[in-house]
Amino acid sequence: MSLKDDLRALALVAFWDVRKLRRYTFFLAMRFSWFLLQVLVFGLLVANMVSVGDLDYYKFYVVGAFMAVLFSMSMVKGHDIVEEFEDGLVDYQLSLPVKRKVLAIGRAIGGGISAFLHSLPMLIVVVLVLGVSSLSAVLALALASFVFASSLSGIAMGVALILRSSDRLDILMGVSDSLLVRISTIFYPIAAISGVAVYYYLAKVNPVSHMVDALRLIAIPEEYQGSAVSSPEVILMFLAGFAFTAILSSLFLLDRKIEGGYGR
Amino acid sequence: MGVAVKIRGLVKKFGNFAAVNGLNLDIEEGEIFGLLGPNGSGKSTTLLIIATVYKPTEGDVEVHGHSVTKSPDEVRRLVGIAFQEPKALWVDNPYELLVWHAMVVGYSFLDARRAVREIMEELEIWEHRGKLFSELSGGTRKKVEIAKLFLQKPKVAIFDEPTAQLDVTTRHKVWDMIEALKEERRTIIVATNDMAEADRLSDRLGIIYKGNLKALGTPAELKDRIPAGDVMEFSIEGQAGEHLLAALSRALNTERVNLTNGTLKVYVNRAEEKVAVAIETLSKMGVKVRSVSIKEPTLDDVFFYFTGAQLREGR
Repeated sequence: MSLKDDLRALALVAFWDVRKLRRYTFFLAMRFSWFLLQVLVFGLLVANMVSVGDLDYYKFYVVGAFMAVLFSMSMVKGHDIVEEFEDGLVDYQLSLPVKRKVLAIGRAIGGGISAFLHSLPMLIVVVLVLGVSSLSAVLALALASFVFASSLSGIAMGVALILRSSDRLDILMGVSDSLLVRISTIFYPIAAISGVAVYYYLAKVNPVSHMVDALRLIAIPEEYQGSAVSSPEVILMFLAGFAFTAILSSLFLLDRKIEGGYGR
Repeated sequence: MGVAVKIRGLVKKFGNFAAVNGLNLDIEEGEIFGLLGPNGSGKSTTLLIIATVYKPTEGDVEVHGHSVTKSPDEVRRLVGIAFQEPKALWVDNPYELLVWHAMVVGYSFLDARRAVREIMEELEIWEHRGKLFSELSGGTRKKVEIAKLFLQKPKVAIFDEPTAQLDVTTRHKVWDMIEALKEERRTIIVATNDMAEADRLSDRLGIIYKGNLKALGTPAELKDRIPAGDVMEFSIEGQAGEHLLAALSRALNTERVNLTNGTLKVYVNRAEEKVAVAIETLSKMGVKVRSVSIKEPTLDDVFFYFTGAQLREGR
């Protein structure tokens, strides 16, 4: 198969997840309501109570709330895969004339597009609330959100393919949400947690911290420059390395280990 | 004609359970090969290994010379499978799903739309094109599943229970469509529990039991392998006693001859070759034959012979 054929297959596989948007109408409405409540009510209240140096905590919180939504939207893709396992759809996809690597990347990108589209209304709220006026910054926010969503979706799908159980996945997702979201700079500035060494260093190496701070550096660069988990260059390198490792692991898993047969 | 699918020493274990246990089998290019076996015999597992959905624990399968373990991407380009249970998201509608499938297997968008419409009309499911999959009847879902394979037309087409849940008319239509696919020089593997389907479609049959091949041949060959499987029934007039039964037994080389209410039953192999000898023997003994009929064993008999006997042994 030529590169052109592979790219065509990649686009079609990615479209598989995008097709499912309509099933999430109620879920999206709930998430959007939750987000508006977080940003327009709790965010304002908390920002009045919290003071971290010169940092505008409200702006910090708004981006964090968006990242939390993007994270959970991406993790939902893991549940989708388990459901597809149960319905035999993974068997179906594994039988298609598509290379395993193309299938893995296509599903991760499809999951990313899907999670990104799910969180797009919330991204628009972030842009409006923070007053991001530069088109390049808006596009960079969108692109970064899409890349993060794809990476997280790919990981969630890979984990789901290994676990093959909605119960085990629920437990793991609950734990990962607690650890990765809470022990990160999503809601707590790195300066504010520097007093607790374990918490501080875990947050420093948490990829979610780097993702959310990358978004903040794009959305509110001047105000956030000195408060991020690392310098912009280090964040970029960290995320590139993380994405590279995640993609390689997923490809290895799907290529060598994954096979059909839910319940076997 | 060469070998389309070569299976050698195939083993597939799930934990300690061997679903397929040292299977060897050649499926010829351009034939319809029927795979028979009771539930849990390893049929579907074998098919899913050929389709690269499962990986073999031991052994290998080659499809047109490409190994499922060494070059699965090549195998997937040659093989397509219609699953026993239809595969779709509940939010799918049949038309979108089939267009997506058609494009994945190589159609352009416009060709996919045209081809999908044609196949949906042929299978009489066009009117259901916009419904959610969850709203469709079992039969309609099954038609959508097999439509995928008729769109794909792979070199090796695998149908797992293709007409389960379908009405009689549609079953015959699907059988015709499978035979038409064979005319296009495709190799077709049909796993089925429906003996009428196996008899109607298969050039050759394999009977699989506990992960092993127990019998292989054309339907006629397998029927002939049942000892004294054919039954000649004579409606007779005249004196018939033990001497007549003994004479028939000698002449036809069978021990199974019996007489009940004027109906003489003789159990032999290849009855069509022996009926003349039987009539001649009866005539010599002064018995008049009013009518004669020959019954071949059905594939049900074949199935029981090769698997049922062992089931009894296993008890």
